[in-house]
Amino acid sequence: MIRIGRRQFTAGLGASLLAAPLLRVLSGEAHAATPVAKRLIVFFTPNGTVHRYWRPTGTETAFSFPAGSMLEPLNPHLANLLVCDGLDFVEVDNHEAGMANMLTGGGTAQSTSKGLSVDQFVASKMGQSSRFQSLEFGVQTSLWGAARSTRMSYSAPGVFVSPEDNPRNAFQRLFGALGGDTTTADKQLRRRKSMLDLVRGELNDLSQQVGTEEKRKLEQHLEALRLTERGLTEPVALPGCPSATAPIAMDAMANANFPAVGRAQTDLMVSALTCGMTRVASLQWSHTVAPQVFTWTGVGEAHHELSHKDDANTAGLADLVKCERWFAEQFAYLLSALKARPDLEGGGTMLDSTLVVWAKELGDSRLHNCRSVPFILAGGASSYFRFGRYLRYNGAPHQKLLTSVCHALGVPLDTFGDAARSTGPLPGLV
Amino acid sequence: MTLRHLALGAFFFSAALLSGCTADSDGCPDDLEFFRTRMWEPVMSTQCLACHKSDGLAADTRLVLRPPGEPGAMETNFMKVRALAREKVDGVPLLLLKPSGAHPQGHGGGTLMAQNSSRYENFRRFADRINGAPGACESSALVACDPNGVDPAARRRLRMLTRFEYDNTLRDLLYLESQWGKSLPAEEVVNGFDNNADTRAVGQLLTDRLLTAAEQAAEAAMANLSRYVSCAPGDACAQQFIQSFGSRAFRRPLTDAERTRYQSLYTSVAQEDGYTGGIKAIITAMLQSPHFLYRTELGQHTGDGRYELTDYEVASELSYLFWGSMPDEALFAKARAGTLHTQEQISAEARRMLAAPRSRPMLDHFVSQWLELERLDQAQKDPLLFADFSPAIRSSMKAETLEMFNHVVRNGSGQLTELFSADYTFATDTLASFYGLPSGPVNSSTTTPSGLRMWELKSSGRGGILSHGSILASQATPQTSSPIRRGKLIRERMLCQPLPPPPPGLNVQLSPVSADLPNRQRFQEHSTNAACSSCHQLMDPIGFGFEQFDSVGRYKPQMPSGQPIDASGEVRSSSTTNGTFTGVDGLQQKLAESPDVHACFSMQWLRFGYGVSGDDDSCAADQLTKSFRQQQMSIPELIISLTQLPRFTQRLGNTTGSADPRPGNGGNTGGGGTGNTPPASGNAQISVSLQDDWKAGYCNNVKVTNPGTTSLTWRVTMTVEGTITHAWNAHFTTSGTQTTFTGIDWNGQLEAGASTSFGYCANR
Repeated sequence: MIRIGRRQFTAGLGASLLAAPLLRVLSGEAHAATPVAKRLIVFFTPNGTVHRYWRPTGTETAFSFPAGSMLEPLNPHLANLLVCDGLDFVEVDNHEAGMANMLTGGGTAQSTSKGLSVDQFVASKMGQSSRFQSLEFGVQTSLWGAARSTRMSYSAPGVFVSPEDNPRNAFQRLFGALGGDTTTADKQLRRRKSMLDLVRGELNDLSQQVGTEEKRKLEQHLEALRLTERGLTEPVALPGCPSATAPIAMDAMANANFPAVGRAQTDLMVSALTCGMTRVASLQWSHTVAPQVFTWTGVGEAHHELSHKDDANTAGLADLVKCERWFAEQFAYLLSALKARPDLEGGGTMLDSTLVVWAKELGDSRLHNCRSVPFILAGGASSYFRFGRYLRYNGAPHQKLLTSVCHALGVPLDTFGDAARSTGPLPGLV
Repeated sequence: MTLRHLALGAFFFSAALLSGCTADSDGCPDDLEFFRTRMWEPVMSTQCLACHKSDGLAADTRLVLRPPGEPGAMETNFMKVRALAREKVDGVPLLLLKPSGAHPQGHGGGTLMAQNSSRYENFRRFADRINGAPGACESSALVACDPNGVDPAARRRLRMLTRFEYDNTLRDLLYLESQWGKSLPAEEVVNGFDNNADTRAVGQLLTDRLLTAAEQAAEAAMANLSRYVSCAPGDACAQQFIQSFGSRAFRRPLTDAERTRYQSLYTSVAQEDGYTGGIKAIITAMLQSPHFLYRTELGQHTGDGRYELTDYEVASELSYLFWGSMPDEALFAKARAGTLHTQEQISAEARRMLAAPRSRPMLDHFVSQWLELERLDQAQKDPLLFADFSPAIRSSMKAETLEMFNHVVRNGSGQLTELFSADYTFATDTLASFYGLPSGPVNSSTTTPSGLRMWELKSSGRGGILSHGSILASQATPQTSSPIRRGKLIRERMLCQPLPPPPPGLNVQLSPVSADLPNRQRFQEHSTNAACSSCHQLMDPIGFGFEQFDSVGRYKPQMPSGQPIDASGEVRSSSTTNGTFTGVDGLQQKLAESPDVHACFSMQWLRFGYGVSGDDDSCAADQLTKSFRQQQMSIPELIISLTQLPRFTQRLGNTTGSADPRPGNGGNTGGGGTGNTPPASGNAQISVSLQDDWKAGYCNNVKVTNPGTTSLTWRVTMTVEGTITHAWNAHFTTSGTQTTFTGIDWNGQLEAGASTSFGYCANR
């Protein structure tokens, strides 16, 4: 049984829908009002691409992915895709910098986006009434600890948001509170609140004894506790939401379990979104310079090594294409899963009202630079953009895309990231 | 710009070269020394020089540095860097724009320093000095490393327990095995270590998991309840529990206010759920308390902004350094008695703790991080080529390295050089046969719990820690050895010289692995292509010395064709280590004698021991290295030395003024004097003290006393300057300029004569 909390769950939804027409006026869009998306998913896979195996063929509205190419597994979903070719990270190159700029657009504390990554920025605006402001799922992202090369989400300049790499732990966190009778749950909630109140008092007292830098740390801690407490008081899940299945126990860090961990995390993410636990989620597959060997696709070298094979090395490139096709299959699986779930808040499928962004940190993997970084957006009739198109840009700054992503979620702002490198949204998406 | 300005500029530019003066300034008298100690030695001589040299990637930029060791190199480099400090883009010196990645055209070597980092701060100060910013010389005056003075980098701070420390602490506090720490999000890794105090980010995932861990651990601890207190269940016993368990959880006695807090939590829970429910709530809350999760290095103010860590803080510093866990009863007793603050007192405890078997996990933890051993578990190997490289071999390899380090520290000479020269190792029988060791185990050798025995390495081609499979197999590709990765490990972990990222836009692919082609020939392109060679010459030639060891760390001195494998190598661009060598053995001899390696090894312990990046700690690093050399590179003495530096117990704070009164034990009084108490109304007496003030805002603490003879629900109305951002231990409502504070559930009622306190922060 699912415990439904006292508060109406739809409180936050109304606000973002209401904001949509106004935003359109602000951003100068003249199209018929497509509703803004209700949810954002960021899907990350590492090590750039090799463009000639990535690009679709055809025109803006009639395109497809050729047989044998990396994205062929996405052909069943063409109508839901916006393929963005030719976006640059301005003045940024290389693995680490690419990773750090991909979702922040190089923003700093002085930027409108405050140096946050786009998922965290959107979450800070629209996640206020959710049980989780955002949820981060990882697939072996932490073998090397948290660092600029292994993290993509930022809650403040230089402050990483770490993903949960273990599906069992994620399941427990999301669905562990389901079930039980109301009286017990209410008592537990009261108990937890009084303990958190006490801890908060201690944090405040302690912060009076320390200097500015330590105070900032403790303020971060207090903010995290505030979110933890909100997660306890908000309803666990939407009425009618099916519980997810508990993932099987496995070593989440073992190379061979990469596919199984990824599948379990995808399922949990889709369930959490369907159940209304959050509006912003990300799924990060490994990290830049990924060391995994995709043995299940029959290759023998690590993903990063394969990503450096040059054009003359046809066997090596064929192996990289195999790996990338496998990632495309995972993306296709996510889209299918979103199509298969009803939107419990408003009818239609989950994909109809979700914006999915498949982001990468590099352009051509061999050159490890950030020119022409491939982006794929996915969504449906109520995800703000017009899908089913292939758009070619010529070095447009990716800050524009990040700005447009905010707009798509009903979050108005002029520029996401470093305004010195670019301003305004990306043309042609709406 | 007018013609006159141009002419003047040209005049001053040439004058500057001659006299060291600028148009605006003569600089400061100690600019060269500032450059050497704050910029050249810690940053530029390794990181910038890797590319900015005559044969480097950045040879065609305006910054071409001369390598250390050349006569006059420092002075020439100083003048070049000074010129970049003068040249500005939009008012910002080029010297700052480039390494911080803020230049419009970027920086080929990537972002080497964040804009708020202390490195950047040093570069900024240098530019201010050169450009004659008012007060620049005074505000950045060089502080000599006074052997008995406070380290200028020793900030008062908090250190959150790492996952390793969290699990160890729960085990010792609750008497049960803990895996909860492992389920917390991974730490931010800095220079390979997981305990950097400044970078640990606390987000909702962490606090969510800490809540779960606390609840589950408290539940599990209830089975051991009798181990914590022996009294009969009841309210009095709960009080005793709060006192005794609390002082172990917080690693110091609780203050009165803390006791009251937990007492009222107990009371409210026990009303519903009885004694055990109340105790469980106390444990759950304490495990989420900042006093449990953070170690404080705040100290007591001893005047002039200097702080001395309390004896309890010293006890924790010691226990987490040596055991990665909370203090034991002996340490607590010393802290209680106030006999844990002199160098001698600390040294005696440090020696006891290092000698105890409990220090083993700490040594293992250091070695694992220092040599990146954790990567071995997930190092992928081609199953067709290396079918016998089993999980058992992997774990034996890791155990080999840990055991050897432990042996050198405890049973061997203790010297760093023995790590490089050991003609013995520790191996399981399976590993010994995997290695193909020709000699048998040493006669007297006993088997360790992990099944290791001591083996002689005569004519095995092995010897020293760098011939361990754990390192060789981690730093290799699935099919073959990797001179790049092995060279990089030596460069970064042994020489402390971090490498720049490869330049973008350059694709050099190695020829495919082939049985007939010596591996080093695959790397030809790296030395013939100038764009590659400037960096790869820092790694590949070192890595070539490892070529006799294959992808899984087996000794293979010959090609399949029978030809001997060339294992000659060279260390370049590391002034005191440079030169050619042959094989891992030759490299190890070189490293054992290298002052660079000695300084680097002590730096790694400084990072590990103090939870810092090391970038800002040149004082302590110099002191530590000096002491390491004086003690003939003894590793145990090096670890003890960490506790003997002023840096271990002394801190600098922001405030100046008089000292705190020396507290009674358990005092946790907080800083700040009593300020002017503004007019207030209400039903209680108050006294207000300023806690913190940063111009734009401030925080006050307010003590509330019930002056009457009966219990009262207190209420205080007063004028608050500015806008309150948050308050603690009180609710508040504001009306006009007046703010009314009332208590919260546990401190709203005051008995006659009793006091409580609340606080608030406000923006001006």
